[in-house]
Amino acid sequence: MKIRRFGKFRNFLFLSAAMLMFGMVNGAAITESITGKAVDDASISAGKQLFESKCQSCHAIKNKLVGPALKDVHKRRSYEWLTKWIRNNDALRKSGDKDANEIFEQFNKSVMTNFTDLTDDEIASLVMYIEDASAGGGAAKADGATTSEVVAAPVADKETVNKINWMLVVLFILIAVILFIIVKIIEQVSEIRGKDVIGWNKVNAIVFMFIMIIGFIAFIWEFYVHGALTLPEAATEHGRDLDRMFNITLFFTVIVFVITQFLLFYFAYRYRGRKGNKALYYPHNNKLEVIWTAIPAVVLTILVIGGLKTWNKITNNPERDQFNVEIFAYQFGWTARYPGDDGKLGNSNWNLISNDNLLGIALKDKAEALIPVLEQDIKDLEMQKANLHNTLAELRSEMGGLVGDARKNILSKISDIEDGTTESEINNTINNRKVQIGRIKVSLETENAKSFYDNTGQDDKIINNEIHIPVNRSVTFKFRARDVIHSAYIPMFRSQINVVPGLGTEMVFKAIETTNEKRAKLNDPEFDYWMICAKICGAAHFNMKLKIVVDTEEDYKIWIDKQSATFAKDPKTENSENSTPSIAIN
Amino acid sequence: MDSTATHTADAHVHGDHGHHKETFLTKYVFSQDHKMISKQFLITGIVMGCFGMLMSILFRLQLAWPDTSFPILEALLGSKWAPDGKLDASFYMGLVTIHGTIMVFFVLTAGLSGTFSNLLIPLQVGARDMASPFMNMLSYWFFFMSSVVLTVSVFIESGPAAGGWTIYPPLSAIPKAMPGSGMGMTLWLVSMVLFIVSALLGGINYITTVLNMRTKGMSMNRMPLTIWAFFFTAILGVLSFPVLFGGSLLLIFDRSFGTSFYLSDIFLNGEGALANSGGSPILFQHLFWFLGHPEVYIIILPALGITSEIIAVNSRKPIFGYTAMIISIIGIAFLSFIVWGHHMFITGMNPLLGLIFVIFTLIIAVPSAVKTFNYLATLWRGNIQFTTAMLFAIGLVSFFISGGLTGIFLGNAAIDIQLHDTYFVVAHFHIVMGCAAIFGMMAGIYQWFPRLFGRMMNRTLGFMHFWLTFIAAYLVFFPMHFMGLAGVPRRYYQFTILPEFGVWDDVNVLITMAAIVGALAQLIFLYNFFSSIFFGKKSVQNPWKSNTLEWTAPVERIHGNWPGEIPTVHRWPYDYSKPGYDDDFIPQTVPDDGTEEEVAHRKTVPTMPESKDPAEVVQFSSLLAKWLGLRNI
Repeated sequence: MKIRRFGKFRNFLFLSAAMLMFGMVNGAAITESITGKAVDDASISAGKQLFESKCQSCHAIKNKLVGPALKDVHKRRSYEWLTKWIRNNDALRKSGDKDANEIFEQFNKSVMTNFTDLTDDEIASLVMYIEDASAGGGAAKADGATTSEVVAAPVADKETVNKINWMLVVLFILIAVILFIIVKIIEQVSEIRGKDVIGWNKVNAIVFMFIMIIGFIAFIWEFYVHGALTLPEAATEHGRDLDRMFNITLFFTVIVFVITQFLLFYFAYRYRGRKGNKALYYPHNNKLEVIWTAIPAVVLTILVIGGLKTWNKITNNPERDQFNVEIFAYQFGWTARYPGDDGKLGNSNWNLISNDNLLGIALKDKAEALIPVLEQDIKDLEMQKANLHNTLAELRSEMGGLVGDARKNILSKISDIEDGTTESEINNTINNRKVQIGRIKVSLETENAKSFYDNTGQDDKIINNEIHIPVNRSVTFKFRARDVIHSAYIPMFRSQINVVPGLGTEMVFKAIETTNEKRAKLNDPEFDYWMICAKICGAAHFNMKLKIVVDTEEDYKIWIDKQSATFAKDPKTENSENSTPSIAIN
Repeated sequence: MDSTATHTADAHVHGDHGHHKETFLTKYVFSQDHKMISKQFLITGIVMGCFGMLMSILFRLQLAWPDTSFPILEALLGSKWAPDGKLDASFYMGLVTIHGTIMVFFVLTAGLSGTFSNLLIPLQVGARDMASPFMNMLSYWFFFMSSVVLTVSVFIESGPAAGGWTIYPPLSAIPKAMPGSGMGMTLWLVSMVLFIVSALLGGINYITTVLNMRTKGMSMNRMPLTIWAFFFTAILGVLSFPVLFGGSLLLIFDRSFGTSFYLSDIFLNGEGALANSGGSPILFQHLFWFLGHPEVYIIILPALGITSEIIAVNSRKPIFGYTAMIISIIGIAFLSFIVWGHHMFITGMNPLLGLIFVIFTLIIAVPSAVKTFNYLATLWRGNIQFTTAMLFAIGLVSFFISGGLTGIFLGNAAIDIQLHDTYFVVAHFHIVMGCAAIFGMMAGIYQWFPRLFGRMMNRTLGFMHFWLTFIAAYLVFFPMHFMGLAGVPRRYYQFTILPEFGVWDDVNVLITMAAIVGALAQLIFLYNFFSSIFFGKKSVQNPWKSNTLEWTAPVERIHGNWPGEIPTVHRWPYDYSKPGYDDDFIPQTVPDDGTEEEVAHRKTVPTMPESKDPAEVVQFSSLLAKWLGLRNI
């Protein structure tokens, strides 16, 4: 923890120095924006929030992730183009825009979400934030994807550290070379003399002893220094049990570790070969062997019994399903769904997922509206298939004069069309759509329809970025994956479970410390509980997080009441019915 | 049965000898001589190992300095994978995946077991060659093709497979799920299928040779522990690799033919809802780990076998508890088939199943502990000769202890909830099956280099290699335990997700520096290895004064191994420092003069000689010693 504080302090100094230099009081590093709007802090911080909730899982300012790095994107593209792209990149690509298609190809045809619901103001503030962050503005440090606060330590300082490190490597090489030369000399001398100049048995034995002593000191140092950086006390009930089990195991293993490593190194030192010595002929001792089979067996029995008790307690929690929250995992983020006033989570199905219904909740009107969209998509695809030879001709004519990557892209497209890859891909998608339509129809028409579309999902609350849960209540997270396997890992809760498509998993826990209590305890006002992903799920695997705030019962009530039902039938949403669902979402 | 088989092989090889003139092609390329095939496995393994190690350095650079630009990366990898000198996130995943695949399969399975099973099985059991030299040759060439395919996959445009070496579907099953799941994944699977063919051809051969081609007098309980280890390794491979073969085949079907063995309920970005339904991604994990866990022992058992031999030879003592060692090997081999679920505690598997896997997993620690204690007992009151091989063998024991103990945390389902897929796991398996197995392989190379090439490796360079590698390996992997305990997940491209992870920045730099030092130390080994092949000191026939049969063969390494009759075996391989003999070793070929007890055959229990060192007798433990029958030592 100490290092972290220092890092922040350094960072603070650095930032204040930067601010003084630019003579600015606020965080903005730009004075004008391509959006044509006046630069102000409020817009930038609004943009930052939008960036964190909508963009961050795939984009960063400085680094290329799933999508391109957004630094200086305002210099590469016009504001008009950016607006179009953010709002509906599908349409922009289909309209034949060259830049749009190029970037699509360049990023392995990863589809970006269409953010049709963003207002002009919101897009403007988003762009403004990117401009500001590109210029290294005050808001840039909050670019979670690229630079955490500690990473943004002063550059000069880092370089010095690097230099020292590289000098160490050079030093190492030098030492190795010198050693090599010495070794060669010794060998020559030995050869001339006809016997070893150095008693290597003794040298190695002494080194073993030396390394053992250094090793044990380092072992203690590790526990003292790095051990202090490990997780603070668990914030859940079962987490405390788990930690206890861990400590018991640690106790036994450290004893065994110290004894066996000591004996190994000590024997290596003590029984080094000496001229004229003869080893003891001692092939076996049954009693001794029984003893050292029995001792580990007993210790392991203790550990197994303790472990199984803890495991049963965690996995067979009788308090499950008292308070359910659904967590939906996708490439690359988490979305939570709280039951509405009816206290029930609505049914859901992956076939119902659309831009309008990101979680595929069983809503009859949305499901019905999705069918014609899918049918239209099939028609479009059929058309595309029929037009392939035209496309081919167009591509060939476009190729003239092109060089480099642009030419290569077109060539690969041509070869895809020629060898039938494109057609089979289209057929595949058409098949997917047809099957999907069939499934939706079945769900709407069979007898089960009533129980499936039971309207319990209508008042569900869909929440991104930050969720709250009450303290001292058994909470059950119900997990659902959209695409690949993820793993929901909450280190501070000592909870982890994989999120597997097609297999509902769950996690039951009871938090016993609120976020505020933990902050006070750790004396860290910025501390938070986080859920992160621990199962490899793609390029931005390292960037999936959800903040979990543990509140007191009252605070939780206040928070949950503020959240509105996502699909509530109020006049406002009724009017915006014209926004049709689309299929390709992120 | 033994003798007839041997004689037939005998006659055959002798017949061969006179007629064929060996060309360059049949001697060095399509050789059917087990010693040449062993060298081919070894050198391919070393090349792949360098490749895998280089990859680890590349991604370690990224982890230590995520914000620094390394122009050399862009020069090396091109602007697609390292734009502005920074490693691309997708390619990082690809590197991690291919590093794991290479190290687990190509270096530690084929490079270790392939090399030493091939070299030592015929030589130590007293056979002219493998049961089927032709199949043996095929085994190598399938392995070679597999290596080529995997290497090629790194250089294709969409990048190598990038879903981790465990290739869990749906990530690996849907080409659109990530760039690496396209052509890269296809090549990975092709490579793996070729590899499995190689492993099976080799494994069947090893088993057959051990069972049928032992020389006269070489009963099963006179076999060196190396052979026991290779024998059970081969059995594990033959029984478990086909399961991965099946699993991979189903994955290929899912990828290419629209089946749904592993797929269900999937809505993919840019593709929409998939038609696939009814499969289970968890099924693949069961199939994968049914190989994957025995695979861990396929890797470590040969290393332990090699270590048993080397520790006995260089302590100048019989291996302690020969029978217990064999029982441990058998116990580990058997148990390794029923513990695969401990990789899957948190997949949503039925918790009841978890209970059973916990019990079996922790039981495995018992035979492992017995092996460790027996190594220690072998060292005790030995006359230890610190050859380079011996240093590496002792290093292995140290890693085996350190890594084995952390396995007790991970095998306990409750603790695994917290530690699963964190750096603690990375530390654990790198120490116990990475470092330990590599050290076993190194020990084997230094020990049997004279047998392979007729020359000695430089000893002092070997010492430098050992000490640097040993220290660097601990520096790299020990701090990772603590990162894991702080909840840092593995396979992260950078640790910026939570501010808490920032405290590990310095540690990551330390780890990377240590990794670079460790990698540079391997250059010493490479120099030593390749220069010694040509310029090393000429070896004598039995440089380590060893008992086993391979050292009775001439230095010249002829086809058929022994120029005349195959030697007959009269005793177990561990008669070192036997009282009543001038030499401190008695080769297996020395006839039993009738007064000898033979420990392996348990005719009589040997009596202990009087102690010459009074310092050994400690008052405090005399009671215990009396009960143990140790008093007269």
